[in-house]
Amino acid sequence: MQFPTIAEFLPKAFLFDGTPFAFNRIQLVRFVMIAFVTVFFCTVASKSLKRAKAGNVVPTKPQLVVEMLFDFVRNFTFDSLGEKTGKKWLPLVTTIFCSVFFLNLSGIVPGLNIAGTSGMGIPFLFAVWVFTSYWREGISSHGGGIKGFFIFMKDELFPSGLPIFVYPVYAVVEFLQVILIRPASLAIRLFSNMMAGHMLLGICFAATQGFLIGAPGISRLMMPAGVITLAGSFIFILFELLVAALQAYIYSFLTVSYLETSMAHEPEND
Amino acid sequence: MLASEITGNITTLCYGLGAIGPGIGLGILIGKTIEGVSRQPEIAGKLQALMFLGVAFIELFGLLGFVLVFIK
Repeated sequence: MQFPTIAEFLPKAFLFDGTPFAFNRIQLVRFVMIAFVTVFFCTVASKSLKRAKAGNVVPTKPQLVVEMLFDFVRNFTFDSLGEKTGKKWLPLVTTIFCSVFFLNLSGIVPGLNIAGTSGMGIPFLFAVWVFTSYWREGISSHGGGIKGFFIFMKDELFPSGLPIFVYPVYAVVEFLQVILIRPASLAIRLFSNMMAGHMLLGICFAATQGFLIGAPGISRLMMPAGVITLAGSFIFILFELLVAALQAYIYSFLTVSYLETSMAHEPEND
Repeated sequence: MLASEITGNITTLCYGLGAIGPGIGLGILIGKTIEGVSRQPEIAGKLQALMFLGVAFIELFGLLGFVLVFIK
């Protein structure tokens, strides 16, 4: 019986070892999932286009699933960003939602067994993308250029209506938020969630094997406990499914809300 | 067994302590959301979205502790 350790997330590279392109198990899983997503969406899109050209507008089942997914993302994006800005950032939010969801899902796909997002790489990459996006949105919606940058910073750090002695503290905290805490918390949240899920599943499986089949140091009287851990592993697989969807939702929803806070607000809306 | 003989990594214990705060926070947040929904069921969707936003912020503190366990 072997319990999972931190080494699970730093597997040995099996291709191009020692170069910057070192290729390990988690990266292979990422490639498989991304290939699946790309092929799936492309086939669904081309098929539905072909059907639409032939005059058949009744959607097929896979098309319905994809449309529901896109509609869900579009709804919460438009709800907080509005139609115009929402349309501008919809590709970003949809891409993040779909890729994070499918990469999370690979944690419970038999044979892959590790979430593509349980390394720091992918969450970090998306966090950098979100970071640049809300800075761009903030600067361009406040007028653009250097002037836009200063107005954006003034709006973020020194909003009107606060007591004067709060400003020094507020500005520092808010500056840290904009520059570090927002993207870092996005990345750490996703990464550690998927890591915790993988560890939980690993511990359930290892304990089941130890209790039911036997391992040195474990008495045969412990067999009933194995039944509980076996049931636990089924339950936690379902739980991981929930977490995969929830984390994808939270990641993209927070992206939207960061974009929304850096947007220039009309005076009459406040 | 003497207390001085106990060995191991103290961070696991600290994670247990660190999970108390987010636990209380999640309890209050979700309980209040349920309260709000039962008062005004018509804004349940909006409250739920706000709840997930809050859950994401609170959960981060628990997860930070989880990550710190692995840093030695």
